[in-house]
Amino acid sequence: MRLTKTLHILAIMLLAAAPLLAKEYSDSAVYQGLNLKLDVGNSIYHLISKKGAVQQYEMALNVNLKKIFYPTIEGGYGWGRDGADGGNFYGHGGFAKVGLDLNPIKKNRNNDYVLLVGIRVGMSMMDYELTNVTQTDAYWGNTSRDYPMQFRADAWGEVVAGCQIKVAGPFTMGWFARAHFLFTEKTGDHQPFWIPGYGYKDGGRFTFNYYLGWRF
Amino acid sequence: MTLVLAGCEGDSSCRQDLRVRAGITIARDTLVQVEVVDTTTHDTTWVWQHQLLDHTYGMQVHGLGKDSLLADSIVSSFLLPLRKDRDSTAMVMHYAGVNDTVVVVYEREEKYVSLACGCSVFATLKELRGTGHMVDSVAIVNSAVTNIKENHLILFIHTPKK
Repeated sequence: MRLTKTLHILAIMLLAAAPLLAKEYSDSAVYQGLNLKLDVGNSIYHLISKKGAVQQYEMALNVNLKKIFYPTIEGGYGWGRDGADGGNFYGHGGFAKVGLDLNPIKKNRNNDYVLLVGIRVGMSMMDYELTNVTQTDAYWGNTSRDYPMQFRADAWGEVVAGCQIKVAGPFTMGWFARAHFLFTEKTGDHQPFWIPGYGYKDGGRFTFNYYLGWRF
Repeated sequence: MTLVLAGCEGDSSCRQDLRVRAGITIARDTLVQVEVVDTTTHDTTWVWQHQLLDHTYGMQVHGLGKDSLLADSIVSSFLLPLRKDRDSTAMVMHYAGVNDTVVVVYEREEKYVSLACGCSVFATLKELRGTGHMVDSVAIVNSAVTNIKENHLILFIHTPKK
């Protein structure tokens, strides 16, 4: 209760101070500030999703150059757990993405309402284990196997499109739609159901992010 | 938020046929009388020739330690399920009150399929050992055993010695 109260007070203070914290740059300046964004959409989705037990946290940081170019780095960490026919999967790992976004708006560009389209290259590393994997054999009888301490690295590309909107002062929100293409589709001894930063392996080609951010 | 466009739920049950079975044909080297016709004189003569008869004359085959039959009666070929947990599979052949235990030796290669399906274990046949009561010789015609039904081995048998 005490912690919740403290967090509420902190949030109110930040919102009240927001207009003072907003930093404005000259229109002619190349450097137009940084945007730090926390993905809350995936966290909420994974809490309510029934497709395996996945939790993932993701942040993004971009640099606004001339209100047109937004070099971006993204990173995060996640873990996933799944089971089928007695077999269990557990994996956890980190990921990073680098890329570039462009603001396609030609007239009246500003830092409060920004459209972004761009590309990313993503990489992830994951430790995982498979336990009690059944080898079905109708004649000799079923056996099971464990695969402890496994590791895999993945890489993928993304085409992204989204927006970044001022809420109040330096606070922003935004969303991104991503189409991704896994470069390591067939590599590795085992094919996991989920890859950190990439998402569900057989879950379609598109993902979404919903961000809350801070511009400074 | 992940937009799931296809395959909303994971495949929790396996629908793939992952059985890895060696196709075995049994052949018997037998002397039979064959009619030969001379193409120029059209004369007919009868000669004795070696011929492979590809049926088992009531031979029964089952896995070592198992009751379920893999081959019975006049079946000339059958499929031997290879054990996934070891590098050899033994079968017992019964004919005219005589048993011959035959061991198929192979190298395994695991192929993980999915959490629900587990692994498929493909095999490369190396050799075949028998107790010699029935099997004269063996021909490995295809050493790669996968989940495709194919013929892999021919067992040449002789009449068992009682």
